[in-house]
Amino acid sequence: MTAVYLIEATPYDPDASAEVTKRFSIGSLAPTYGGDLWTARVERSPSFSVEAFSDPIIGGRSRVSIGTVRILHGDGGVNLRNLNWYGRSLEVKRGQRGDALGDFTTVIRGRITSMRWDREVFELGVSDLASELDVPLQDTLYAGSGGDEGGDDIKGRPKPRCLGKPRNIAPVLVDRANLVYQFSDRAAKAVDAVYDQGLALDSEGDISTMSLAEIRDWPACGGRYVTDLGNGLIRLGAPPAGTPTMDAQGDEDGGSLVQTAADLVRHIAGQVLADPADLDTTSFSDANTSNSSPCSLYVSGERPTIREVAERLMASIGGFVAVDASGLLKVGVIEIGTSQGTVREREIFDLRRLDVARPYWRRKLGYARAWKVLGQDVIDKSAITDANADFMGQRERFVVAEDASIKTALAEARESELSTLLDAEADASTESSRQLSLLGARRDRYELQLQNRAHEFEVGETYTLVHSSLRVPAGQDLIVRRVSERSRESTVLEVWG
Amino acid sequence: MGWSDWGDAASLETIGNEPGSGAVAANLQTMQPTELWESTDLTNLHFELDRGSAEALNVVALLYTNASSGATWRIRAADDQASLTDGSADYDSGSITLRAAGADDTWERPHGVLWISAGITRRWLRIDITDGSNPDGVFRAGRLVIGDLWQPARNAQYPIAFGPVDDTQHKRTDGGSLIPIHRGDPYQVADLRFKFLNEAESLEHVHDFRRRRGRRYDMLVLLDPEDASYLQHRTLYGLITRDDALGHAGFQRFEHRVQINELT
Repeated sequence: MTAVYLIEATPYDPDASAEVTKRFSIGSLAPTYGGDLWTARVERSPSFSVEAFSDPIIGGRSRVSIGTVRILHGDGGVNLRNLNWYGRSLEVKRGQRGDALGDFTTVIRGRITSMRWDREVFELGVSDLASELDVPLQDTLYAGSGGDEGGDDIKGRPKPRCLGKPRNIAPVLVDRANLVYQFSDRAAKAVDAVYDQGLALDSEGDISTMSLAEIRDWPACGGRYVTDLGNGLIRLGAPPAGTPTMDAQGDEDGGSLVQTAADLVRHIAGQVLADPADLDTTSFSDANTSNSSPCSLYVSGERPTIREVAERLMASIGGFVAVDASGLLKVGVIEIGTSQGTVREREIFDLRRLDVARPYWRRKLGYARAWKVLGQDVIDKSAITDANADFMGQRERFVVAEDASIKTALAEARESELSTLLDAEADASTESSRQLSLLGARRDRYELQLQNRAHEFEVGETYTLVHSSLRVPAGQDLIVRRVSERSRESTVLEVWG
Repeated sequence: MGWSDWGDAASLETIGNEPGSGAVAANLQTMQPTELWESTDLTNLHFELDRGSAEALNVVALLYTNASSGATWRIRAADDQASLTDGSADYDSGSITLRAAGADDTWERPHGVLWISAGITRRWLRIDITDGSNPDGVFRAGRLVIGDLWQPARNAQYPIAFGPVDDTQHKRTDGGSLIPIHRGDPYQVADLRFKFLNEAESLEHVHDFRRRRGRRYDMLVLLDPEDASYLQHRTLYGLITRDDALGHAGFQRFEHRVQINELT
């Protein structure tokens, strides 16, 4: 059965002053689906490739690429040149001839990033949904107009962002005269502690419970502070002796603090993507099932992208960020799970082993980061606890999982270290042991070419590969690391495990 | 062989019951058969064409349809619109089977071809279609060709090469399975060599094809328009993909070779 690909795009028509829907297909004798004609002018199905993780296996970047959509217009049968295509949505659906439109599956969705044409071909470049995350996590800047917008000294700087329960963060001084500091540019869940030179100050509470309209209405008194959680602000009662720091709880969702890696990714992805329409929501709940450890992050001064933060969060639990087989944003934890199916030798046109990343014999994970490290010379040791002094003086803490015997069988085994955003030692310890188990063993990486199994495979899922040339010819469970869909129903898989 | 010189120049009365967007009757006058016309009216389906003045035609071909085996059509022609339906039409085919001879249910898009060997010259034309038992619940057609085809005095040189071509390639797996790599559906081709054309044929027809249609525009070829068994097989609608220069082989003898690939 010949697969049918349908392309639906919504360019802007300047003449109609509105978006219009354009439908095309690669041809299927009678390309009417859902009561619409899908003009048969697409030269071939667009290629699509998604790579969930690379080297290093954990913490490596994911990549998605979508081939161009080539519409044959050389005969003048369609005129697409007057439409505004950039930034408009495009979807590719796949089905079989005779299917109802509802039976087609969306396999690519994204936005149009380029438009080229010559006498023969009108060509559209498309980016995937994950690339929507390539924008700064923090897109609000201080106006420098006084009050909560700060003065000229911070004008143009990004406002801070607080996720989870970051500890010992340095808030931004926005109102020097009134000693007002900002730790989040949006409503925060709580402030757990405020320190001056490491010494905890006393809380007066939040202005919402004090019948104060504004944080500056608080009658300041030394050694104390007040919060304005609705605006992510604190105010000190007296000038600090050193750099004030604090422990805070950041963004909440429905009254609950957003804390797990998958939930935090979903939360920040929601800044640019529609939730749930653009998300593989099952993958987020599955990732939470695999690992629901609390994570924390504080962003101030720097401007990381949403994608960078999302990848850091997922790397903290040994996971990845990618798109699924229907083009939706997905997350996953790298683990050899339950096999989703078997790929047999008779289906494989080409098989080759690729080199693999070196295994680990020791896996060291950093956790519980102090976001502002205080030198021992600036900490007031008169009343601080040793635990607090130690915490504030070290950037992060470490857990180590190791097995020196791995080096006996695997001479190339190495030590490896990764800073995570995990909060708790127990969670970091569990994860380091899991990662040593995953990465402290002989692994293989294969590339194989299949035919007529287009868009069946998902990155991050486990399949059993049966082939007489394998190290385990009876069947080896492997994680799909990369899926490349090419024209004419050809699929290239890269699997690891 | 020829093209829809009558049909494409005529104004086509828009037909009701065209579902969805895009699949309109005007598509019948455009080249690509996948840009089709679709109607939910299966029992009172008709349209009329006005050529503007009386012009010659000898073929009415409704191509790439989904006509069922029971579908019928009726073609009437006249010099005024009223005569099409008041019983005084100058030409009336009567109700005849729509599918061309040889088009059984294995053909996904059978053609309807009415060959009027004597030819007629009329301004108005009406087509009525009845296909009440069409299993798709709609009637579709991809192209309407109404024209005055040229029939050479001497046939194309034997052997005539024609028939379906399938561009599928094959790959063998590591496990030994042979897998077809699909590349679209099979399509018809024809390779015709005319060795004995006279001057009038070569300059009035072949020269005309090359000048006015070339490799850009569609052509209809009926390899035997009166074939009562295999007209579907011998109907080829497509583009000229090889068009050798007109050869002046000798005194009053011209020759020409042309290859046609089906538009699918």
